[in-house]
Amino acid sequence: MTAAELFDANRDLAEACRDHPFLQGIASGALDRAAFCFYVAQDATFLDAFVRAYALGIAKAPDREVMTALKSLLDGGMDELRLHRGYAERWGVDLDPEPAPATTAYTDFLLRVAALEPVSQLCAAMTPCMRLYAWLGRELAPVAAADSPYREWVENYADPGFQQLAVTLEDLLDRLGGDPAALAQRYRTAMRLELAFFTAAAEQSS
Amino acid sequence: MTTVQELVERRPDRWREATSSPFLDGARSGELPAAAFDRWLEQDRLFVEALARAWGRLLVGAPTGDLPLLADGITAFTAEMAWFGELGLERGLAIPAEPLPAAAAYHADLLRLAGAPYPVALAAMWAVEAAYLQAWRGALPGAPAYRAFVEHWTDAAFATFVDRLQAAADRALRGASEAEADAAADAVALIAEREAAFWAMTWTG
Repeated sequence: MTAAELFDANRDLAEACRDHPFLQGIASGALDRAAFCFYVAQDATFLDAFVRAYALGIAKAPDREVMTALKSLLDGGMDELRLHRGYAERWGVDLDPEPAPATTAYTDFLLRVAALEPVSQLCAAMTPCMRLYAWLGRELAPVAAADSPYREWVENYADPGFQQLAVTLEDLLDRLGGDPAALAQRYRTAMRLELAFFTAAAEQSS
Repeated sequence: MTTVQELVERRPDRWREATSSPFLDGARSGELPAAAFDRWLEQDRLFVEALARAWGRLLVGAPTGDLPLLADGITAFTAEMAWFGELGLERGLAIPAEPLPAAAAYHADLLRLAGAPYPVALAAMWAVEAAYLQAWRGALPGAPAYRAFVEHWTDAAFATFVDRLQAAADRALRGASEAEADAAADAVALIAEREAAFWAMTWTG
């Protein structure tokens, strides 16, 4: 299965994320500040594991080209972490929180796949985060309120630089291939974990 | 309190052998045969790839505060891989399918040590870079045929990176147990031994 086919097969979950009260609140600006702050802190914890999973991919890469592509993706993760530090300063967020169960479920899944499975399966587990966020950025950018305090978040993921990172990972996934059933399962598991991650944040609304 | 410098001083003989060799003297004087240098370059190219893999493994267990440093290290190694690629085309170098025995032993130790407790792993990775920098500094200014290479491997950016790495390794050692500090000393001595063998791999003067 190609990366495009995998995303199409999970469009139900992508749309459920887009229509989720958390994302709709980001776009309209009505999202409770506590929910956003919780999300930023948990996402920083998630990204910390995300860059470590890329690093394990570098250690196991089948060739130099894959290694170099994973390195550019790791840099993208580091840039995102820097962005979160910026949010944290402005919003007064502690970036070293107790990981929530939805966060731990996702990071444990990624690190397990990174440690135990081939790089192709790791790409299938990591692509949803990149492709979903790139898609959400593009879906929400035209409808996000101009005065939403969360507009920067939407613009960051709609940015061509982030879109390109998603394509880099999808190209890697397509190049490496792998057992289609296993790829589809890793991809869908990650999509489900994405939805649960947004739900956990929305539940923090007062 | 243990520092990487103190670990080096436990086995000064090993460190001396890691940072001086006929190969380096030959690069300074011009006596190093071009064919021996090219064979060494081919092996160094493979080594950088092993290094990037080792640092990937190292990053997995690193404290969050060290992630930027380790990511910068992997960036430097992937950039060096690209540089070797261009150099290979210029000089008509082959990409060897297998490392020579001395290099293969080094790769294996590097990957194993990258998975050691963090203070041990980081001290070992510092030793690789610090020995390499000190060794090439000993070959300055370099014979005309090798000057550009000697300058490349002793430039200010590399020296700054080694300094940052040393600060991180010393920080990690501050939290290490006595057993870990001893293991780090053994790791530094082993890296020094592998470095010495690497210099002698294609030319012994």
